Amino acid sequence: MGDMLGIPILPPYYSLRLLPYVVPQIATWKRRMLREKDVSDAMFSPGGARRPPRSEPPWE
Amino acid sequence: MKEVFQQNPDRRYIMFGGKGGLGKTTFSAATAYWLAKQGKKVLVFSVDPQASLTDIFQRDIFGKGPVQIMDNLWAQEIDADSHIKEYQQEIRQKILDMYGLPAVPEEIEHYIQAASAEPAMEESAIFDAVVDVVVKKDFDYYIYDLVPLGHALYYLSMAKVYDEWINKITKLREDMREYEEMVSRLKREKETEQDEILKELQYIKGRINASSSILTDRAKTAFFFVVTPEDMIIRDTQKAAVLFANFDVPIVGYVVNRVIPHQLLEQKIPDYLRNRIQMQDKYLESIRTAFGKQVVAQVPELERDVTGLPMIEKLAGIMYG
Repeated sequence: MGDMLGIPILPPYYSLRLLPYVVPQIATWKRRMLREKDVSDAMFSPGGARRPPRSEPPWE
Repeated sequence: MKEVFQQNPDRRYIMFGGKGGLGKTTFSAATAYWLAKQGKKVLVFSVDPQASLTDIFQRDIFGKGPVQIMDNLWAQEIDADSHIKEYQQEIRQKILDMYGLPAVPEEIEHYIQAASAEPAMEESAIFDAVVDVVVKKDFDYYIYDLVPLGHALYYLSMAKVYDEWINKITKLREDMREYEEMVSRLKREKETEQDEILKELQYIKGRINASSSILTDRAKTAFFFVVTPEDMIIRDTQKAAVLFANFDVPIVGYVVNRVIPHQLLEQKIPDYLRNRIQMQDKYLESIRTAFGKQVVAQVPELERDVTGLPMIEKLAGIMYG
């Protein structure tokens, strides 16, 4: 977390104060990271040949 | 020393800084003792996680809030650990309340644990607790028994760097909010909800400012460096003084500690001690060259440890007699 979410890098003591507000972002963090990867895969890998086909487009 | 206090009665925040083990706690205690005897209400407190006020006053005061030592004199050691634990619990409770959760999610709990294990956590926690201590204005004098140099610098730089950081981000968030409000007006929606993060940032900024503004207040604060007549100590202190001055710390004077009494030379003493005294003369000379008139007191090496009120009284007599 930190500047990616528009929050300054703070002394650890104070950064904890902000934690409650970014709980949803942290909870969905992994999903968003995976999604991003899938999008670039879809753009650059030729047909995604090495991957098993998905039932639905990953970016929706 | 006495004149420094008498000529500047507005300086109510007194700090002793310097390398570890040179006598910061000792001088803090002696100064607090003397001021208390002058009829001033004094609180001496430690911002060091490895505090030693308990040892010098021979009273267990750790984590007990201000403890009265004698008439007009209170001492306090902040228990950073339990402070952090209470604070973690507050954060957990807030998360539970905000999202109506039965338990804190595992990843979030990990983050709370990791953040609290940071090396700077204790210092930051004490830094924050000091704000509560000094804003109450219950005392005439506040004596800060400071942390060793490195930590003290961290403490100061933290204030300056984070203040700038928070200003920048706060500005950005405020700008963002203006746009949001404009958009919602155009769409004729009701007002955007308050930016809670912005409020927290402003709170944090207020806390950091409250603490650092005292540390750098020329009118109300006096910072003393403790040095000993030793080559390395003198060099390190000079370097630190430059850094502290850059952070606008009002350095008022230098107190020289552990001076072996010169009168010993008149007695029959071993060469070992004679050499030490000669070497010391050389370093006392370099202290005079380096700090000149800013040397406010020279304190001899005493015959025994300074612990307990009678020894503190004796030392106060030497410093302020």
